Amino acid sequence: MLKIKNLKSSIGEKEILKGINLNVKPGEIHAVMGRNGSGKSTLANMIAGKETARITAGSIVYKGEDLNEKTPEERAMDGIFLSFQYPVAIPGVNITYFLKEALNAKRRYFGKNELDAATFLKRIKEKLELVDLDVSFIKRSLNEGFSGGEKKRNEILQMLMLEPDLAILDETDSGLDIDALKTIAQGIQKYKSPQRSFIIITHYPRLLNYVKPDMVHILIEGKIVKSGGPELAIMLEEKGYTWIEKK
Amino acid sequence: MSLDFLKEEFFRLLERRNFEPDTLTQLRKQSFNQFLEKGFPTQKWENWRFTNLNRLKSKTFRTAGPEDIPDDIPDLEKYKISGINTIVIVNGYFQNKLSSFPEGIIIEPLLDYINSNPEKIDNESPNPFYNLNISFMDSGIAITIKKNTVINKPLRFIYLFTSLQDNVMFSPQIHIICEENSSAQILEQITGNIKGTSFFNLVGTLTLSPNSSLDYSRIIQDNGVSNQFADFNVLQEKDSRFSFFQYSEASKISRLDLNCDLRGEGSECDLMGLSLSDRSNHSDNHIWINHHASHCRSNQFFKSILKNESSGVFNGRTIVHKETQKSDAKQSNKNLLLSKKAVMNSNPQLEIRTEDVKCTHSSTTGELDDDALFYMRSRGLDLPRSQALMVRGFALEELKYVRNKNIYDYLLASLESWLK
Repeated sequence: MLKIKNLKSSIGEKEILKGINLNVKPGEIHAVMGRNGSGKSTLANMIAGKETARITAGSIVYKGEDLNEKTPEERAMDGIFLSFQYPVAIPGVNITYFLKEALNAKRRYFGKNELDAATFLKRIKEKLELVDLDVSFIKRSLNEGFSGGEKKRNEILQMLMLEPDLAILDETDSGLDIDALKTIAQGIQKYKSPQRSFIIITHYPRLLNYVKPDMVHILIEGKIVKSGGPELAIMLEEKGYTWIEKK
Repeated sequence: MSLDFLKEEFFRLLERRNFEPDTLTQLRKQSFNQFLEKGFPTQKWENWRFTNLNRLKSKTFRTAGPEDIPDDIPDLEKYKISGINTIVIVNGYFQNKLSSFPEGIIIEPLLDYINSNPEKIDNESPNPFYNLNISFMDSGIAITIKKNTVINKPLRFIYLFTSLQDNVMFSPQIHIICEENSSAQILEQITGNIKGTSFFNLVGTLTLSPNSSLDYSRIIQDNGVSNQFADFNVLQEKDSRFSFFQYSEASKISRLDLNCDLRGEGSECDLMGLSLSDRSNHSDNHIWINHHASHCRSNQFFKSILKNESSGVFNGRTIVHKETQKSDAKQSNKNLLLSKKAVMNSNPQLEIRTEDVKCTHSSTTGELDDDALFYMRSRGLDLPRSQALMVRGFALEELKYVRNKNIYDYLLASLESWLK
């Protein structure tokens, strides 16, 4: 599904990613772990199409196509979804209006009819239940005045509605209490399928106790220094990042 | 517009109105002299620093006359807002047959009102456009909401313009008197098929008696070709509540002077506005609040969206006077620039002359946020749609303060067509 080859990128003069290789197959869950500033969010943003980081070498190939020339919206249409670490507040744009627009843009792209109001409402109610949010929530402006937990639930709600093939969850677990974490994990579990892949970016192995990854990669200073199975996350929890850095 | 031309027009007006009582003629003359002494404002005047009036001054505007009475009845369907009463004024002329009136309100033609209450017209104002209005005042209405009367249906008066090809000056006045314990919603709308460059110079005097409430809104949609000047003076007595909302779509030059005097204890005002500017048009909101009494609350919240080479000014000033206590004053101004050539001057000022106050003020001017745009695009909306949604959202944050659902819906539809 996703093949990243020797990806190098810079923001301004500073090199952030220093040769990343990653191969995600359909149905797989990959965890990318690392400290702050290791390049995790840059990697996530580059897959989704943010232009702050510039590719200096290598490529990102998704469903057999190089993403380099594609806009963020084209990538979204093709099934890429990014759950943001810090979702930005957009005053005056309520969740219902926004999601309807996004969903219908996607339906038009695939030659489908736009969803009628009743079907939309029925669908979003089901998804709201999965992330434990009240129906009044979708009348609120996007991320405005949301608590940390509400922001992250809202990201997962959007994922469930937009039905991407590749979901990148950028620190969706940070700042959550245990109940919210379980809810988020449940949303992911429900969504998992043999066709859908995840890249879970995280500091902490907590979420991985609920969502078992197929592969774990450790990113240090823009490079994947170690890859392995789920046991790697457990080792990391026991021994910390210094264990890898010493090696 | 040379002063000589205005003098000629003024004498023509006096001749045409030789039937008026002497008190009124004297009032006009005094006011015109005051105007001549001041002259038109220049950018050297503190309150006019960012507003260039050359485009207005370079044109001549004749006063409206009987020749402007429309031959046929205009189609009002386009301006329909359900659930309200409407008083229709076409090219400055009141249209009885097209109008509907609520009960519990006394509505008088302006000149009748002034004849019976000459003391109600105050000549003193720092604003020469105010003096110019009194000199030339030609139409208008006085509305009295009787004591203990609650008017549930909003009352609109619509200034409708049809097929005026040349440059005409209108000088209407609006007087609203809310008697004790009364409550009303009033909507003023200036619109129509405006082709010539008209100059609309309005004066409003709003008086709120103890425990009365007035919700006053303005809608200005003039195809961006006219000059819209308005000077409102609001006097608030004890425990009165005033709310003001102006929705304005790009006039050539628009200038609002809104002066709100909180005279009585416990009085409150919320003054809000959304200015949509396009082309090389200029919009200037000059909002002045005086806290003269204790336990008063005031709030200014104005937004502008500027396209192309348009420009705007927000000059908000709240003065909390000595010997007032427990005052609460807020000011906020937010502006969105949709073009590199658009310019905004924002100047919120708080002048606090006492200690027992709670005050905040803020001002932001900027373009659409890149992170927010990326967020929306990452969900599949293309760039133009993402921008449109954000601009719409920015405007809705202001529009949501319009409490009447039908008026809100009308404005939302107007906004969406302006954004296209």
